[in-house]
Amino acid sequence: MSAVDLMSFDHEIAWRPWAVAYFLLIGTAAGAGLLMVCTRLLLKQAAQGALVVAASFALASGLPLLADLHQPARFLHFYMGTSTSSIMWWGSWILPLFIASLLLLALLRGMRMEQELSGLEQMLTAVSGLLALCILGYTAGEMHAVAARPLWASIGFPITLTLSALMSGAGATIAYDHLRGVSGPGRGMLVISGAVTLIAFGIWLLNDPDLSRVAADQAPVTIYLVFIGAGLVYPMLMIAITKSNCLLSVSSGVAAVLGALAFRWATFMGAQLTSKTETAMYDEIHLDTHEVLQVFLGSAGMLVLCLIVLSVFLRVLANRTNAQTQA
Amino acid sequence: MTISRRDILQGATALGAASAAVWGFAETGKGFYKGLVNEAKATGISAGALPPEYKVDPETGEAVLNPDQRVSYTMCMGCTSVCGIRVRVDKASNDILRVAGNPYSPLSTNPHLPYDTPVKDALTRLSAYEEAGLVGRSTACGRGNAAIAKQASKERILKPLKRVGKRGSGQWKEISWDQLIEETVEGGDLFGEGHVEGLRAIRDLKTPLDPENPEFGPKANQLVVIPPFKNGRLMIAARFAKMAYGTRNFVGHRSYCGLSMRAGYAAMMDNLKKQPHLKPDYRHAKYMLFVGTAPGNAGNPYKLQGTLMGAARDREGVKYAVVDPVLTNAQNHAFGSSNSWVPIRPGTDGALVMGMIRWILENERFDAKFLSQPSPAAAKAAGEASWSNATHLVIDDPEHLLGGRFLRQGMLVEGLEEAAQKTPICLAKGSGELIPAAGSEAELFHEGTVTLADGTTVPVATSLSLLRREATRKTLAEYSADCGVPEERIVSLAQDFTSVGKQAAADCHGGTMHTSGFYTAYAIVMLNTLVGNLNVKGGTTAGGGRFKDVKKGPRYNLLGFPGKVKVKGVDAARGGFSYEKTSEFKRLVAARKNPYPAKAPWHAFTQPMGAQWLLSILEGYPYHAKAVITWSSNPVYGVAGLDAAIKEKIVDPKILPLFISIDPFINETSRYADYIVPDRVFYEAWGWASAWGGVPTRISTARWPVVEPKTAQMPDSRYMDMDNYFIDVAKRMGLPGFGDKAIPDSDGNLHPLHRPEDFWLRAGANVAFDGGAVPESNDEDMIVSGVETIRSLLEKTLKPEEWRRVAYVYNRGGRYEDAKDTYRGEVFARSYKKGMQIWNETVGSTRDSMTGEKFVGCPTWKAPSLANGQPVDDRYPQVEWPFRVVSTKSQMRSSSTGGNPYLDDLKFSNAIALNSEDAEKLSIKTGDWIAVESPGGRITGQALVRKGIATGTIGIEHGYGHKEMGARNHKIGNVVLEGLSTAGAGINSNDLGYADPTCEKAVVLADPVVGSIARQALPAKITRLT
Repeated sequence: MSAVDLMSFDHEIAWRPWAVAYFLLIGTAAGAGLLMVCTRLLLKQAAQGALVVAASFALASGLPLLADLHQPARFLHFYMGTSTSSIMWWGSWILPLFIASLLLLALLRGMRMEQELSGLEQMLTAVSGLLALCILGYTAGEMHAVAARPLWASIGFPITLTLSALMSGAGATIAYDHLRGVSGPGRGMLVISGAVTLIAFGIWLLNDPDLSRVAADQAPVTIYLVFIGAGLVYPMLMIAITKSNCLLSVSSGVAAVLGALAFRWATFMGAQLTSKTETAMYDEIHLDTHEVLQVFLGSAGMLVLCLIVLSVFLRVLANRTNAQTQA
Repeated sequence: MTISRRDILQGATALGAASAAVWGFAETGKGFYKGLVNEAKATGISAGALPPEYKVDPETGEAVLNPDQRVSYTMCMGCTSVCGIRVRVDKASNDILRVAGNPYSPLSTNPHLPYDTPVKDALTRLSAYEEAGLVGRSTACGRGNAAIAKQASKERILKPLKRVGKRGSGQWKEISWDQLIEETVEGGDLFGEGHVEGLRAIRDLKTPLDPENPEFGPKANQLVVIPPFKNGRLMIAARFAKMAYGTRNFVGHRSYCGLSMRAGYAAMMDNLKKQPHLKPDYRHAKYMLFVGTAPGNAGNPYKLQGTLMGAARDREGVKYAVVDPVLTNAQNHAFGSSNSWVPIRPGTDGALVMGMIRWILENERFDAKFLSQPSPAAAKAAGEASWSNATHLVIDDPEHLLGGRFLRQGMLVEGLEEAAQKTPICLAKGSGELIPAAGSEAELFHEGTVTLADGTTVPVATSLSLLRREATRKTLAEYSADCGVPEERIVSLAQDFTSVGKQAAADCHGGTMHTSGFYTAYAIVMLNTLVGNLNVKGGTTAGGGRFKDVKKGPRYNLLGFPGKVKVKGVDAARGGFSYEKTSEFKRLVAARKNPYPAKAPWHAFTQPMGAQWLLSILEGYPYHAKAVITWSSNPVYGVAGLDAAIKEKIVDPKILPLFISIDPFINETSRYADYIVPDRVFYEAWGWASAWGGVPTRISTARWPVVEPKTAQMPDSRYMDMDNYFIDVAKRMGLPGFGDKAIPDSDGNLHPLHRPEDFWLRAGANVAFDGGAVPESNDEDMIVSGVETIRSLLEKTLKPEEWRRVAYVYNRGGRYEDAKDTYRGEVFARSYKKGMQIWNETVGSTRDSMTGEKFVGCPTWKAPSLANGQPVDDRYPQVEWPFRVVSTKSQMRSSSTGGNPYLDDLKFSNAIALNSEDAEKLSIKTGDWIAVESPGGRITGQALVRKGIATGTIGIEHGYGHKEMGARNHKIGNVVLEGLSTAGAGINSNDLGYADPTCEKAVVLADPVVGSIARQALPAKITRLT
């Protein structure tokens, strides 16, 4: 993607649309992961849907992250030295551990028929919960650290980013569970996180007139409205009003995910329209470009593929385990 | 095994998802593959980077040098900031690999390293050891990095050239150094076009060049030498031209790009001769106002300003505003309302600032305590860091013989001693008695009459009253209407400026280069006077000065020598000489004719104006030149309207018989030369420079050959360059100050000047000993810094007690006072002594040579006008010429970067910027080809439509639109130097400049008071081409 700079030269935008995809996928994975952890440890339920959603979203997040690096092979540099003062360096270790913990949990679940969790599962569940919190912390922190972007460096942004990740995780789980005909957890989490996100978002932008002005300058207001209306208010109302209507539940869950996507698109891409090196605004990044299409279709494809592969794999594994048990 | 419908659906979905993923991530996959196996392979942290010049042990911090490379500190000249840089050289190939900053230099590092830091420790302080490299980060800017291309450029002239075709035809042949010296000194029928007088014949110090106008001086003045700005090498050329040859026509880069600012400051700082200027104390100021300057985007020192403005933005409570027709990087949106951009109509800054001054005076927001102190003694008693002449009484009658001059004690009482006679008079505070300006406070405002010693009565007014009178000539609403800035914004700027005490500062620069430039600049800097910020921490500083280099120094006197000539006569462009003193004026008066207007403006109190010289000598007013030497200067490119004005006459040898150019490249001016003398580029040359401004501590930056010069060598191993050309010409002519007994030391012994290092190393000795000698360098430091390569020259040229101390200075790329010595309490340790001039009596007592009227001696607002006083807007009405063109500066370009391949790779062309509202009216979109026409020229380029430019304004980035500098073919013998289209891409706004239509003799449009070239606010109209 090219950015037209008025007084300097064209160069690639620093945070490409792939970052939007990555932060959506990994945030949703962390949200679903925490939902899974809470359901397992507090309600003593397996929360298989939340687990599959968390594992699939986490697994699918890796490639967009690489794609965002401009030169994907650069990720190797993270592992060639230590840089403890870098949030990204910590993230480079947290991310694979988080994915691995979820995949391992999924594998263990597929190999067990009992509802109750084994000791190993309980321990791994707690570890993955901790890693999910680390994921939320590092993703919020690495954006908050960019002082050149006042919208990101403000305190309200990482809070809203984190809350919307929780809501997206709950929404994705609700949608997945209803699509496979199961009424799983997440409804309460979606309503609560949605309400708190709405409040945090409002306080963040309305409390500081300078920030409101920056946000209005940088991000399309229509996308913020999509985030508030379709991403927060609609799913909260639907989930609160309806009990187990499949269509409404699925649409509410998907809307929560799309809301989180809208928020990330508006703040990630919008904030970058102000040049860091020039007194200039870049051309608006349109959604219908070839690269943006690649980002959305590629990421969606990868996500669906991960969901199917993981679901099928777990089903096959469960069938085999079941057969072995019966034998 | 059975396959269900669900399996098929799932399989098909998975296939579709996989396809989407493959399509989406195809580029990522390719990139990943390339990253592993191709040129960008990620095999290590440094990937394909060069081997480092040194490595630092992370445990001990010890630096280990790379034996294949050398790191030396010298001076950059990518722009005019002359920053200290460290240059990394490959020893085997003599190639410059990279450039970064000198950590000892305050121009490159904030704060700079203590001067006594060992050279090897300095390398450690730049590394990751203890994270020191982050704190003491020392960098070169992008332009400074790209400048290395100059050294290796194929366009360089390495041997002397002589034209073989007509002037400007681009046909040359190489000649020997001896032939060059002989022909230019002795003259002859050099081109088969008739006899040409050589430099020897022109040097006649006794015969007047024009007997009818003896004030023009001797014939020797018919050699005109046009050098570049104070680039550190100027003084050896000045030694030749002024002190040895005896022409008065030698001056640095003056009046091209910043004379309005310099003259405005000079009037306020009471030094019209040396033209000092101020810079804000960026580190502690709480409010800064920038008018027609863009710190961090351009300006000087560019890089340091950028660093300090970045830090200021991050400092709690700091605010600043940038008044400029074009939005630049000086304003930063990310920092919200702490900084703001004030778009303004080009050429009308003076109206805005006079509006501010009016509001400040009417609302008594000025610093009355400061302004009431009429002398240094009073200021000291009151605890002020400076003083002003606000209370001094001025004779308030322009037609009176003494009109515009201060009322002095000698005018009131006869028989006083000389010093007492000159003491200005003011009114005692409270009693209103006439008292000499001394140790007590005085009245700020007064208008009345005074009876002089001769019994006559004259009207008088205090300086501040006169400023108030000028400021109240227009209402705020009228000022607002003139400049296009809302009245409330003018008030808020004045409020902000006067809300932080003395921690407010105003500055200006090239945006004032229009025909209202002098008074605009004087008004802007007057804001500093009204808050009394001079020398105050957080206020303004005139800089820390330099160590004595080419001076009468502690070791050698490089300004004096036996037989030194004292130059006489009128400057070739009528600068610094009053029209009323000319024979022409006297003849007209004697003939009872009105002597006004002159044929072209004379500028009595400005300094010689190099930018006007070419046109003046071709027009022969005041006189013709017989020879011109340009050295690394390019007025044809840099002076608005000059190219069109001279291009027919400059090619005629009958009008200008001899034209020699000294330059590493062929530029738009040297294309017309008869001879081109090769020269070193700055990495190869000797010299001493200082900060142009903004550095409050003493600084002398060294330039020395950190790589072998690429120019040809002579049999005695000297390189062909500017220094050696002047040395050899002087020696052939037997001029004083060169040869065996040329340079006196402090004991009066004379030392030789045969080679550049004879001069520059002795200047280094002065630097090393000035204000206390620096320690002697050890051998290791010389090896680490690469000074080892000039060790033999140091030993051979200097005295045993000198050379190691000079090496100590070169090891560090110069001599720099420590940052801890910047302040003494709440004032700058190095303070400016003269008072701030609300009224400048030299200005106020001088007449305009065109109108015959006296100039106003304090800031005032007069719209941009032509030499005869006619407003530009009347001559070129907005209805017909709806736009005003301004040039803008970027961080990457300067006038000398044309053809730089690294910069061309980034952005090889510029555009014509205009406001989106204007563009909409003309149906112009970004990228459309448009033509811009002014009264002087027409250019075509692509439009850049943006909101960040004031309506009615056209902005054109400077540094493009070259016709030379690698843009055009030249033939040298049978070899063709091929021009590149990228080197000539874009447009030059100076091609829109025009000659003043109200002058009898051709002059390019300039400020009527001081003659600064008008390259801003040029009237224009736009035509859409596509």
